[in-house]
Amino acid sequence: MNSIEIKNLKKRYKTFTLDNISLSIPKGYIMGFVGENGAGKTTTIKTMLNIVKRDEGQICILGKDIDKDEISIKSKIGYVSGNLFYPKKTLKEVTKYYKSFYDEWDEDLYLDYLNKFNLDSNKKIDELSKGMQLKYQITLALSHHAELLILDEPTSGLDPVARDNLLELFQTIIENEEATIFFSTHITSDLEKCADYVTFIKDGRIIESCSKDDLIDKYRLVNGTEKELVEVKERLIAFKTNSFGFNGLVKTIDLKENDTFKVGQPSLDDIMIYNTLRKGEAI
Amino acid sequence: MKKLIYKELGLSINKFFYILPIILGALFFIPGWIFLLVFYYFFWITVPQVYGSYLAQGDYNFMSVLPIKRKDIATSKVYSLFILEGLHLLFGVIFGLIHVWIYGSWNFFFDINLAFFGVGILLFGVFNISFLPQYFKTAHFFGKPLIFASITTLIYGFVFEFGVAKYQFMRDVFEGSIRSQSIVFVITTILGIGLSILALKISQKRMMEIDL
Repeated sequence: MNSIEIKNLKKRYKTFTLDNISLSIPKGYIMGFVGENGAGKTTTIKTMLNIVKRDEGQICILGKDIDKDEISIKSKIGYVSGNLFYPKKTLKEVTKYYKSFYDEWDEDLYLDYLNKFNLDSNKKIDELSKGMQLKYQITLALSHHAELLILDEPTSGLDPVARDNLLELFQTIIENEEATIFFSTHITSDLEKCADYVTFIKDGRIIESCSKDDLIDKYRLVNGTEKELVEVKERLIAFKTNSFGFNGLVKTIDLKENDTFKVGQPSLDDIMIYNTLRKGEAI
Repeated sequence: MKKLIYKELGLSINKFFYILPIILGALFFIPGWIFLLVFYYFFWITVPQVYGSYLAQGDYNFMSVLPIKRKDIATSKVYSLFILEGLHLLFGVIFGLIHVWIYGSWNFFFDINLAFFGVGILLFGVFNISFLPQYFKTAHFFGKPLIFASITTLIYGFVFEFGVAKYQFMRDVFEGSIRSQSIVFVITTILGIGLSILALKISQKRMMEIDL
């Protein structure tokens, strides 16, 4: 079963359009949702959760239609937006009201996470660092046994150690809670560390949505001389020129047997950088 | 819904605004004044503070992911406003009665009597229908809706306070016998409640259409 299934999602703004977004995540996996700033990651997530009204498209979460079963779906979701709420209230006060909305709230689990993350429930939210605030939001999301965790740029603003700890936590959640995780990021190294699936969005359109290994297999990093560039230019997604020749990204299926330039495996970073440029354009 | 209202009153609205009706109610101790103004301080102090704090506290961010109906977000906020308005009216009545007991009922402007509180209930109704549907066009910007509602309610208040002071026929109707005051009270209360219910319905409908 897919935890999230989105088909042909559309949302039009005056200056931006989410165009035909389709993606799915199998239950029990981690999907990274990657794209540059302003690509439409947050809008997609908000539209998915009905926080922003969509113009077209179908959204099924945990096997249910969001239009018909929004409350039931949201009771099984943990959403971490990264936005601060009730900064002058203590963790204890916010939790008191938050938990009243969830029938499956597990107080022992909540206390366990508070302890694990060294969170003091008597502290005010704005007394916590950004990383600790995020951990508190994750604690809230996990303490009602969410089957699906949706996190909007959870790692941005965290130091490398905190980021690594968070990504490790994702793995633990998948193992212990059998949950599915969908998180957006513009830091591709996060995906290298823990994502099973990757969806890449650019200018409101999905460029790729598949398993991480398939995504890497779909592309090849190439480099060669200026003469070779002339031959391959039309097939390149984008390229960089230098004094030795060029570096570029090409789809694996576009490679030919008689190509003479060097071919290598790209990183997710390479795939994202070259894909954010127009086809055949030099950096 | 109970949980949402409980959350609104406990988490979203500062406790100071439950004490304010008592502080403002004490304004009824001023002898010979435009007593409808007591209720206007609610529009000018409480409303901008509460609706501004929804933004500052990320209240809609918090609510947008809770397992609740969109419609109920508007309903809980409107009910909470009604509760606050009710508190202002309640303390208005208590302090108004004390005023009459101390000073007697005569006032150059509108007397503190049964008709006065009926007109007060309708004042809240006029505020609700002017403010809430405009606010729930965005559930975000409250400045323009509040200016619009302030102008509407000022015109409304002026009509009654000036009318009673200037025209004998209005004094006869609003400050006449208990029977005429009761008729005014019943009519204005029904209208006030009717406008508030209409404001709630429009707010709920608009909440379904906007992006949070």
